[in-house]
Amino acid sequence: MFTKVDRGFSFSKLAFYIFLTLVGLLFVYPFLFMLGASLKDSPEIFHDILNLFGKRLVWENYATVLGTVNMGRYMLNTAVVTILVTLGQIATSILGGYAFSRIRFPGRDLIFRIYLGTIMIPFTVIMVPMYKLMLLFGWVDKLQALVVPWLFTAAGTFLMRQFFMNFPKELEEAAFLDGANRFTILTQIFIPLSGPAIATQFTISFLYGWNSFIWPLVAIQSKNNYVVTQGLADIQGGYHATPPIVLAGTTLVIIPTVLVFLFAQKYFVEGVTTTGMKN
Amino acid sequence: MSKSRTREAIEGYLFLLPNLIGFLIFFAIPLAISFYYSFTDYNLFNDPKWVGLSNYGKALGFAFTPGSYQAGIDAGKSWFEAAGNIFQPNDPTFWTALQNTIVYALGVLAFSITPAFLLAWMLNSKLRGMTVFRALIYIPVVASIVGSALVWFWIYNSTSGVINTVVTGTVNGLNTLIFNSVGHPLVDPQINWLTSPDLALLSLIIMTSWATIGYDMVVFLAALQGIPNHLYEAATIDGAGRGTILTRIVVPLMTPTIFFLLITNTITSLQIFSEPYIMTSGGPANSTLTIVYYLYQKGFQRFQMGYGASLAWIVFGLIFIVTLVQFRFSNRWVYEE
Repeated sequence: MFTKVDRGFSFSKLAFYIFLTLVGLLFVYPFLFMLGASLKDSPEIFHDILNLFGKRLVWENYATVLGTVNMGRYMLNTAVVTILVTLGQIATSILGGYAFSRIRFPGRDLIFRIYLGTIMIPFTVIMVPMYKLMLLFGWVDKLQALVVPWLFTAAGTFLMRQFFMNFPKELEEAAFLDGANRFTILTQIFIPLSGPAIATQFTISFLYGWNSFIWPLVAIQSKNNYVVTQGLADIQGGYHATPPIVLAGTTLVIIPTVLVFLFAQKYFVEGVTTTGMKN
Repeated sequence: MSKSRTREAIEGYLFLLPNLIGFLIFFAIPLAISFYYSFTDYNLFNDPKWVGLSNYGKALGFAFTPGSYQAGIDAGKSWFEAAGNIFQPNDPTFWTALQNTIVYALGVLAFSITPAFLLAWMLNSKLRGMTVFRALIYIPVVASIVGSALVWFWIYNSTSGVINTVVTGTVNGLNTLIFNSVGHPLVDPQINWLTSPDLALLSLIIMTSWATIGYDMVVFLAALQGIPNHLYEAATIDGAGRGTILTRIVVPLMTPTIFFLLITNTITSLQIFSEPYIMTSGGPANSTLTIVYYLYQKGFQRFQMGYGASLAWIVFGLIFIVTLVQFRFSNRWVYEE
């Protein structure tokens, strides 16, 4: 809208900022409400719903949701799953992306094209046989079910391949002459130069791992192995949980992704634009 | 093949192996099995029984019952309602879910793409603080949708939620100021955002759009930043105002982006599950039952796995058709350099 750099004051600029602040509030208000209500007394949330914070900050709600409601356990499960999925996806994507971009082998382009073609197929299509597979492996109701099938990602492999394609040939030729093998070249030369691509893949894998819902809902039954999204759905339905308790749990689930986003914004944006626009 | 070539090929497959194993075991094979299941009667405990196309027939088929026309007329219905009875869907719930899902997808498109574009256009300004606003608007995209749905559940609450409390306050205020003295006080509407069958789907659409706008906006912003400055300058020299630049230069250059967002937003919306699961349980009266939610109910709550698999393939077919149609018509309006 304002296409020229202009540091002066004008009323149109003031109106512009006021408008944007209101819009920004629209997007953030639900989270402020969540935070405030999570610190209220149970009846207070309804008596005074428009006051963001109650008369007293009831930090005990967090103790309750972490302890009695077991959210601490769910967070631990989710953290383990998220870390393993993220590390695994990054590792397999780097290896696969390197093979697709730097090594010649028969069938390479065909396999790559099949990978690309499957990116569009939603997970729900394979959910039923995936459950059967978990039964066969004995992984139903185990965290393995949330980790192992997710250690590979066609989209991530594509992302790494595109990134490696930009590296000049000379980069590895000198190393080859010195007698380095491909694995050394990948770990010593390619990976150190791939920070931005790895960070981008990290944001995608991390968001998936932390926020996934429908598959854990299907694959996990016992409360000890719940992930956070399941835990939230459960306390929402549970008779004993009052709104402040539910919202304290919600705050605990939402804060980690928002914090990581605020610190690594650049890579989140990169993730949206690179995975999206180029295919 | 030379020795070094063979070695290279072996190494290539070794590097690809972790990936390929994952792809085969956890994607390609389940995909094939899913297709097979969709032609079977399968409850997970007995062996799948081949039933041909009957799952698809159950979902998509209609029973032809001409006799019900007369029965409808006799029961005092209008000819139009009675004619509707001639074709009875085999599974009316499937059609309800399909209709809800399509309305859901169209609603999210309508409520997210245009606002997202306008916001991106504003935030593309060369002023301070734009990145802060961009971050605020993007937060709902990274927040767990299950968590956001729980928050909105209390915002929408009909007796004491945030929105209705504001509405009540406004109505009371206006009554004290104006309408009481006129003698026709306004009635507090007490809107049933999530508990009225007419409104619940719209309420979910609003919430999902709120969580989608940030994503669309960031994609638009990336595209807007690709427009070279000299285009704006040339247009300004030619005397074009902000409005003309927007409609004649920016929007035509944005059509590939709009096209991309139409496809990605549609694909995502056709798979919506968490919002109705958390906020309405698909109700009231199935008014927010989406097709993936229906699949979940059939496959994993009633263990009709074969039928569930056929529903999954119908979702995929729908995505495929929508994408194809959008591609087919894209050359009519998408600008390419």
